[in-house]
Parts: sequence; structure tokens; C-alpha cells
Amino acid sequence: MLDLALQFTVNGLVVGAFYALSALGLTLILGLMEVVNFAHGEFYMMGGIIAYYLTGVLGLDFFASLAIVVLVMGAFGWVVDRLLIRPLRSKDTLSTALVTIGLSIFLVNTFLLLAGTAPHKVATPFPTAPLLLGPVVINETRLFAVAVAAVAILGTHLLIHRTRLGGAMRATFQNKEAAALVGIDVERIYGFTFALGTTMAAVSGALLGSIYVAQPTVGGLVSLKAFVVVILGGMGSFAGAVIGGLILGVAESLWGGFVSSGYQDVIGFAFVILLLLVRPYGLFHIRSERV
Amino acid sequence: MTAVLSVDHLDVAYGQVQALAGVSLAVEAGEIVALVGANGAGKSTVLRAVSGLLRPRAGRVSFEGRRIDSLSPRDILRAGIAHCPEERKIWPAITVAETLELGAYTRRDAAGAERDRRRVYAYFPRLEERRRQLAGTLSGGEQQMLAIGRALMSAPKLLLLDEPSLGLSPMLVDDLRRVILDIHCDGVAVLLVEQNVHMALDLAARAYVIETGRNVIDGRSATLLQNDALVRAYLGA
Ligand SMILES: Nc1ncnc2c1ncn2[C@@H]1O[C@H](COP(=O)(O)OP(=O)(O)OP(=O)(O)O)[C@@H](O)[C@H]1O
Ligand SMILES: [Mg+2]
Repeated sequence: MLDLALQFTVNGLVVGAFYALSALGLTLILGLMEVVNFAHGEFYMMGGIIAYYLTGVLGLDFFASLAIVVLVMGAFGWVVDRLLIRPLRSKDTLSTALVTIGLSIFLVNTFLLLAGTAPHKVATPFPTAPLLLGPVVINETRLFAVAVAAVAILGTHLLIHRTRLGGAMRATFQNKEAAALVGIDVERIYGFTFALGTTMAAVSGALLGSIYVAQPTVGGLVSLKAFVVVILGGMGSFAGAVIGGLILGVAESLWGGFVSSGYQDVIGFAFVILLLLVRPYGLFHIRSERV
Repeated sequence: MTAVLSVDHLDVAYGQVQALAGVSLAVEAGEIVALVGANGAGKSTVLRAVSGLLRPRAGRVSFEGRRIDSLSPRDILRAGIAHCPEERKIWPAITVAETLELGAYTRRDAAGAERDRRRVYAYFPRLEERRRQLAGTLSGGEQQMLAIGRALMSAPKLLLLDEPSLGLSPMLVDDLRRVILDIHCDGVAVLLVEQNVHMALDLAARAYVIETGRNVIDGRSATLLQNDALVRAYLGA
């Protein structure tokens, strides 16, 4: 019983690491840029499908494919911001929300046309044999994917807190006018932040596609879960997104393992409703903690 | 005398609302000039148009003989104009030290930035004591010092100051007055927008009075202060 609980917790932490990475991408876009991005799940989906295409169809190396996903989806995010989000920057959030809903529908259908409805698996070079860590079973693909997610999360943290670009990002999102007055090109910061958020979703999708599957229609649920994590953790909070992601992963896994796998996806939403009754601004909503 | 900054017949509108209708003024090298007027007269709008936050609809702004009214805030800053905006606009979750570092964002000369950082700490010793503190935890007066310090970190030739005395205690206003004079003595020209008209006219050699987006009168501060009717009508004192 205890071993089983441990196993479910580990499984939950693995999935939670990707929820965290994807939610971190959304917290940049939603919490900082204040764009309600309904296409976030589609960015995640594109990461998975592109990684599948590169590894499974073109036969490219898994690591090279991940690097290509980062570059392609970063550029894609930048273009989306430039063409669709930037013209609406000074408008209300509803306008951008509608545009991202449109984008989401467009992307799902485009990828259904290109990749079909069937699930695809992202090929990895790792052996599939399970590894035993005491009572817990895990495999190398999962370990690697979690390591990449952790590095991406840590790397983003360092980028935001230790670099000149990160300083410009924090300044821009704390007071845009003051940022412009010290010579920060605010529009470029917005574009970069959107691209970074997009890339994080896509990397998360590519990594999970190597553990589970990539499929054009997963986006909707992924978006909802990312919103759940961001709200759970507190809008714009870095630590909140990470811890919220891990909590959601573990909660789903324990619920699915011990109670009923049928309602696994519902648990997160129940969680958020309960939490918001107690802490209406999420777990980590304090201004000084913001990214 | 040649003006470093000259603003000619500036028109600025916020959507349909015309805020400035032909405002003109000039600042000479190293000079302190005051820009005064009632609430809503358009003082902040003048500064925002000069620093490139707003695009004028008509008129021109030149700095050191070059037109700057279509440049970005970044290029205007690099040309030598720093704007310390109304209400401080500090970054609440960034430390004092990092705020000053970001003030030097466009600079390439690390040695010069370091010199200016020491100069800012010399003007405002309080900031040095609090350099590791987040700006949002500073008192109102300290936040104002930080906002001025941040603007000075770009080593400007002209500093635009928008109501720096707002919300400061009389003692802090005295400190502020001394710092503005120090900045002036270091050769920086200052265009000072103030509600505190007596302080402004006391510091500035010359002043412009504007009302609902138009020039009303300008001249030497001492002369303007002698005009009782003017003082009562426009300077609210
Ligand atoms: N963002 C804005 N949108 C619309 N109108 C604005 C905006 N900012 C200022 N205005 C209007 O432009 C006019 C000039 O405003 P401005 O802020 O320049 O005045 P001010 O002289 O700085 O006043 P104060 O002493 O109150 O700071 C006012 O009538 C104001 O209502
Ligand atoms: Mg004003």
C-alpha cells in the first residue's frame, strides 16, 4: 500500500514537472503580459507533433529534435505576438482572448489535417526497460524528460533573475512606462516573453510526447490544466506555477490510482474551486514574489 | 544664447482630447527652467512629448540642434534627455541597486556608470543604506530619490523632473532643493515641473506658465514673482 502510494507520487511528480513547465509558460503570458491565451495548449501540442515528425518521420536524433522544437516554436511565438497580439496590446483582455480562441481552432484543425487524429509517439534513444529505485519503478525516458523540464525551469529562473534581459523583463512588467524611459525596448520584451512562454509549452509537449503520446486534439485539456495551475499558484508567480504543477500532477496520480481513473482530469478543477474559496488570489500571490 | 532644448508650437492630443495647443519653450545648456500651471494644464504632457512617450500631432522638438520628435524614448534618452516621471513609477519588486543598474541600461561605459552610481549615492546617502531593499518597501520620499537617481544613471545633459516634491515633508523638500542645485552645478540642465511654485521659481532662473495647453507668460523667475496678479491667478500662491 505504502509502496503503491510512493509509486503514484513519483508518477505524479513526473507528470507534474510538465504541468509546471507548461504553466510557467502560461504564467509569463497570462500573469505578466495579461494575455488570456487559449492557444497555449495548441503550442504544447505543436511541440509534441513537431518532435514526433522530426524523430519518427525524418528519423532525426531526439536531442537535435528538441533543439529544433525550441527554435521553431520560439520563432512561431514571436510571430504570433507580432501579428496577432501586438496590435491589440492596448485593448481589453477580451479582444486578445477572442483572437487566441480563433488561433487555437485554426491550429487544431491545421494539425488534424497534417497529422491525422491518431496519437503519435515521440521516439527516444533510451532503453524502455524499467529501472528500479527501491520500491519505485521508473524508466530512463521519464528520468531524462524530468531532468530537461527541471533544467528548463531553472534556466528560466536564472534568465529572469540573473541577466540583463531578465532585468528588462521584470522592469517592463512592473512598470512599462518607467522601463521605456530607461531605454528598454518594451515591444521587444513583450515579443521575447511571448516567444519564451510558447517555447516552454512546446518543450513540455515534446517531452510528454516521448512518455505518453502527441495528438492534435490534446490542446484544450492542456490549456485548461495550465490555467488551473496558474490560478492555483497565483498569477505571475514563478514558484506558484512550479509548486502548483507538482501538486496537480500528484493529486491526479493519487486520485487516479486509489479512487477512480475516470475522474482524474476533474480533480484539478475541483481543487481550484476549493482553493479559491479559501485564498482567492492563489497560493503565492504576494507582489514581491512576482517574476 | 542657443537653446539645447527647443519646443516649438507643440500640439498633442489623447485621442479626441487636445492636451497641448501650440506650446513653445526653450532650455539652455546647464539652465534650470520651471514649467508651472494649474492641474490639467498640460505640464506632464509637455515632458511626455519631449521624452518620446507621446507623439506630437504637430510642432517640433529639437535637442542640440537635432529634431527628436519622431525618435523612440530609447534614442531620445541616448541623445541625452532623461525623464523622471510623475508619481515616481518605481519598480516595486526590484532592489534599489538593481534599479540604478537598469537606469544605466543603454550605457556601454561601465566605468562611467560606476562613477554615476557613486554620484547618485553621494546625492542620496539613504539610497546606499537601502541598496538591497526592494523599491516597493521604501518610503515615498526615498522612492522619489530613487526615481531621480535612476534618471541620473543615464548621465543626461537635460533632466526632466515631474513634480518631484509631491508628497514630501518640508524637510525632504529642502533636501530635494539642494540635490537639484547639485545636479545643476554638475552641469545638467533641468526642466522642472512643480506644484510647489515657490520652490520652482526659487530654483529656476526662468519659468514658463501654461494654461489649458497654451503658453500664458514666461520670463525671469524674479520678475514673474513680482507680478501679484499673475501669482494669484496662475501660481495659486
Ligand atoms: N492618458 C490620458 N488620456 C486622456 N486625457 C489625458 C491623459 N493624460 C492627460 N490627459 C488630459 O490632458 C490634459 C493635460 O494633462 P497633464 O497630465 O499634462 O496635466 P498636468 O499639467 O501635468 O496636470 P497635474 O498638475 O495634475 O499633473 C488634462 O486635461 C488631462 O485630463
Ligand atoms: Mg502632471
